[in-house]
Amino acid sequence: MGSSMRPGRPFVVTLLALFLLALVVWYVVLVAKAVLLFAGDILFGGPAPLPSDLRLSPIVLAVAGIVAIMWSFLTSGGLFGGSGWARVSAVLLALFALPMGYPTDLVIAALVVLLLFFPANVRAFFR
Amino acid sequence: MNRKTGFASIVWRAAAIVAFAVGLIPLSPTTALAMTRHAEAAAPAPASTSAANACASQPTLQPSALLSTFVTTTLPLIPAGTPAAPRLAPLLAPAASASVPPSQIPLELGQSIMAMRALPKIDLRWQATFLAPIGSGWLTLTLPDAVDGQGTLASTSWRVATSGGQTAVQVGDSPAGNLPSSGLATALRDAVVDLPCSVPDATVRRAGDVDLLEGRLAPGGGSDLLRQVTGLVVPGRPIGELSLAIDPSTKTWRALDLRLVWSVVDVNVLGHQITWGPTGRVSLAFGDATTQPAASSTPLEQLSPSAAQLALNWLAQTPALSRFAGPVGVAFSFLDARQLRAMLDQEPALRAAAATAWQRSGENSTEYQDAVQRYRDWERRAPLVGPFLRYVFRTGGGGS
Repeated sequence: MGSSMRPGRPFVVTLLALFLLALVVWYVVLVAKAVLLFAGDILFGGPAPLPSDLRLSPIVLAVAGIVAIMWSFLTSGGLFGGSGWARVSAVLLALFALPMGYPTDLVIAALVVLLLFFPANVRAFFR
Repeated sequence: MNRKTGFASIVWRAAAIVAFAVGLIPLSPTTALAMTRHAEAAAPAPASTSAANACASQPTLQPSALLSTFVTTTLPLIPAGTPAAPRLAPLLAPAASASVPPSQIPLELGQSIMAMRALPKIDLRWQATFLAPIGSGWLTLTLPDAVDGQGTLASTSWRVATSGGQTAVQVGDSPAGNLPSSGLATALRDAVVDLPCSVPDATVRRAGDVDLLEGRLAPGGGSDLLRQVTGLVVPGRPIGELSLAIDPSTKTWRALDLRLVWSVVDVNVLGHQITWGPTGRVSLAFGDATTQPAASSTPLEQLSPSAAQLALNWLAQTPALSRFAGPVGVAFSFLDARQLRAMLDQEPALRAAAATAWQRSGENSTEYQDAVQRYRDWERRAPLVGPFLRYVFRTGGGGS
């Protein structure tokens, strides 16, 4: 009976989920910047007849940021809740969303793999 | 002062600062007269014999003096009711020079300043951002006198054109006056070229195909000056940061980026300075865009490739796996925060390039069409929605 109960959330999983929530804040900053670009174009864009799809480009970037916010937020919640898909998503986020390039991003992603897939208590939590 | 007036005032003053930073002294006959006095006082500088003395041997017209002139003569144009204007009267005296001692000037910078001073003609395109983009344009300085340019600043278009010893200034559709043009181009060139002389701890490193000089302006070289001139009650102390991209072969400048950051975060982590906060920014790109495409690059740091991008490149170059490169590339474009951040940084410059090309050459010109095409190429790399845009453009036939 006791073996059917899910073990408590390991500290390392909580830590990674909190990092992803910090990433959400970072995306929020990017979205705010995109909205400011759009507002600036409306207010001070001048008379140049730029095509409408160019005028809307910052909004496109803002939408990208909003989707990224949702993705990161859901992944963080998934880690808190012990969802298996969230582990894979966390690795992707480490590869793509952290502000660093090769080889640092690869090292970070490898660390996430090690932390989320190998310790016995973490595997038990996500089982 | 109601909120709307206050906002307009802030925008106008920000525009004034930007106009100074790019060496534009437009708008009024009084400005013209004062500028002429400074320009005539600027004796031709003797050719410097040492790169280390490049900053020390600058002509008599200092940026601070230019700025004081601009503020003094342009302030009457600020809408009535702006409370800061009376407080600016004591600022007539030029601010103290913040130039760095010659011994602290990096050799590359000294050489580049000398190279820029040796140019008979300087083409530059400028773009200004204060939280959001507020203006862009182009300027051609033909030494020593001729100044020609066009632009938009805070929704107001202007144009300067030199002919027959006079530089005509037009704001909107109306002439605003004429400047006697003697020495005017030299004065404006020196105001721009001397900016890096206020960076005491500049570092120079190779970034791609340029030498990148970076550093913070000395106290008094940027932030304090801004506070004095605007008269604004500025919260905190804005940090002045400068990036300069130098062509290593010719030593001429490709791009200059000047940022004033009201820092929310300013910490040093393992030797990396992280500064973030509301930012005003002036970007200058040197060289004619039609003949020197590389000049359109900004001195912003180029992204190093990510592991995912390297993997994608390997897929694309491997014949047996190249058919998977497309779908994998779409997947890789998701969540790319670094790319998203870089694109947001590049957006104003790309948009300004298109607007400036329209100003210079018109809607049907190759320069304008190329600039729009560069924007669309950039746009299709947008994370998440880039693949969607590619599909729309392909099926809709736009942006080919």
